[in-house]
Amino acid sequence: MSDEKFAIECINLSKNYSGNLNEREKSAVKNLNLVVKTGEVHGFLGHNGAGKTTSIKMIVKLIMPTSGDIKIFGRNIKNADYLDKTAYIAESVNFYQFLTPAEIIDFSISLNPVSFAAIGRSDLKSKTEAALNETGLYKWKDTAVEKFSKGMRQRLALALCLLREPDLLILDEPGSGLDPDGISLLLKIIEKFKKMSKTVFFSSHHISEIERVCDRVSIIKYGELLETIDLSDYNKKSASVEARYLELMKSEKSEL
Amino acid sequence: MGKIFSIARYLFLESVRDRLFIMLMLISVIVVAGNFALDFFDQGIQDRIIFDFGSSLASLLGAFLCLYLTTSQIRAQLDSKKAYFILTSECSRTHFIIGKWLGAIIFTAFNVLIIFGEIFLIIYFNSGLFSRLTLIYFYIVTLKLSLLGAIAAFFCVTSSLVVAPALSVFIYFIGHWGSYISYAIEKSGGSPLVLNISGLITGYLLPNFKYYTAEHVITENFEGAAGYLVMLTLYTLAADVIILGAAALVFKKKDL
Repeated sequence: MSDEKFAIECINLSKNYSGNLNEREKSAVKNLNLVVKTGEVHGFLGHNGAGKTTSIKMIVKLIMPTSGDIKIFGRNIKNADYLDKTAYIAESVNFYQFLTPAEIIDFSISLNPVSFAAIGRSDLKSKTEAALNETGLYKWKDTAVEKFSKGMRQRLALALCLLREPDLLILDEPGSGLDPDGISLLLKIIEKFKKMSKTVFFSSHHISEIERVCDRVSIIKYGELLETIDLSDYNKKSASVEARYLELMKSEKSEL
Repeated sequence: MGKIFSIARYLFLESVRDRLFIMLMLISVIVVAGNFALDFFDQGIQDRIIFDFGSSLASLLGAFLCLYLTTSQIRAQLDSKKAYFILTSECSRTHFIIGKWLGAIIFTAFNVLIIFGEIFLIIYFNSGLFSRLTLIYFYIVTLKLSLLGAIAAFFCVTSSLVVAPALSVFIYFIGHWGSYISYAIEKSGGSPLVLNISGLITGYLLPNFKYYTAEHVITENFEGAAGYLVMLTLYTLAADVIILGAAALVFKKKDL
C-alpha cells in the first residue's frame, strides 16, 4: 500500500468537448475537486451523462483534461506515460476474442511488470488458479474469450484485478452485465481489497451497492461535484444515501 | 522492449487463430500451387510466370493483410475499447502503437513467406533452380509492407475506421504511380510550379513505393543487389521511424 494520504486528487478538473458545426462547446466535467483517501472505498454516484465516466477516464489517462490536475498517490499524472499499480475496469469489458483466459492473464503479467514483480513464478501459478476459481472461470481457462458472455468477461477482468492486487482499483459501473451471483462476487472482491487496505474508486447507479461497501461517496451532477458524503456519519444518524441523493438531484436546478 | 514484443506476440497468436486469415492463406496457397500445372511453356518462361504471378499475389495479399490487420488491431480495438486492456496497464501509448505495428508486420511477413516459400519450391522442383530472386524479393516485399503498416498505423490514430485504410491505400497508390501524376500534369499543360510541387510531394515528402520492385535487383544483376538492399533497408527504417514517431506523438494526446 502507498504511504501517500490521498490515492486520487482531482484539482479543478474540467473537460470540454468541442461541438460540431452549430453546436456549442459542451462541458462534460466542470472544476471537479475530488479527493479519494488511500485505503478507502469511494463511490461515485450520478445520473446518466453526469460526467462519471469522463472523470474516471481522465483519472486513468484515457482522455486528456481540458484544464486542471490529477494526482495519483501524490504524483501528478500529466506527464506520466502510464499509471503503475493502478487497475481499471471499464463499463463494458472487451478482451482479445481468440485468446483464452490463461493467455490473457499471461499477457497481463507481461504488460504489468511492476505490479507482478513481487510475486514469484511458482506463487503466480497458484494465485492464477485461485483467482480463476474465485471468479468461477477455472473450468473455462482454456476456452477462447469469444465464447464468453458479458458477465464472464467482467469476471475475467475481476480475476485479473485479484491477481494483480493493485494499490488503486478503479471501476466504472462494474455491476452492469453481472448476474446477482456476479454482483455478490464483485462486492466480496471490493471488501477483500478494503481489508487489504487497498483503495477502490467505483461509479455505480446502484445505491445499495454503494451503501454496502463504501466509506465515502461523491455525488456528481452535470459535471459538477455536489457533495461528498461520509457514510460512517450517515450510519450513525441512520440516514439514507438514497434520500440525500434524490434530494440533491431535485434541489439543484436541472439543465438539459 | 519486453512490452512491445509481448503486444506483437499476442497479436500474432490471435491472428493465427482467425479463420478469415486461415481461409485467405489457404486459397492463396492453392492458387499459387495451380502454377505447377503450367507445363505448356518453355522452362524459363514457365519459371518467370510462376515468379511474376506468385510474387504479385504475395505482394497484394500482404498489402491487404497488413492494412486489414493494422486497422482491426489499432482503430477497431480503440473503437471497441478492447485496447483499454493494454492502454490502462503499465504500458505507454507508444508501446501500444509500435507493438501492434510490429505484430502486424511479423504476421504479414509470415504469410508472405509461405507464398514465397511455395514459389521457391515450385521453381526448384520444376527446373532445379535455386531462385535467389525469390528470397530477395520476399525481403523487399516485407520492407514495403512494414512501410505500408506504419502509414496505416498513423492513419488509424488520426482518423476513423473507414478513412484510415482508404487514406493508406491512397498513399500506397501515389507512392507507386507518383511519377505518372507528374507526367499527366506535364502533358495537360500544368504550370511548372504545380509540376514542381507535385514532384516534391510524390518524390520526397510521401514514401516512394517504386523502390520496392524486383526490377531494381534484376537490373543490378545481383552484384549490386546487396548495396541496393542496404540502402532500401535504411530508407525503410528511416521512414518507419518518422511515421511511427508522428503516430505516437499524435496518439499521446488523443482522447480515447
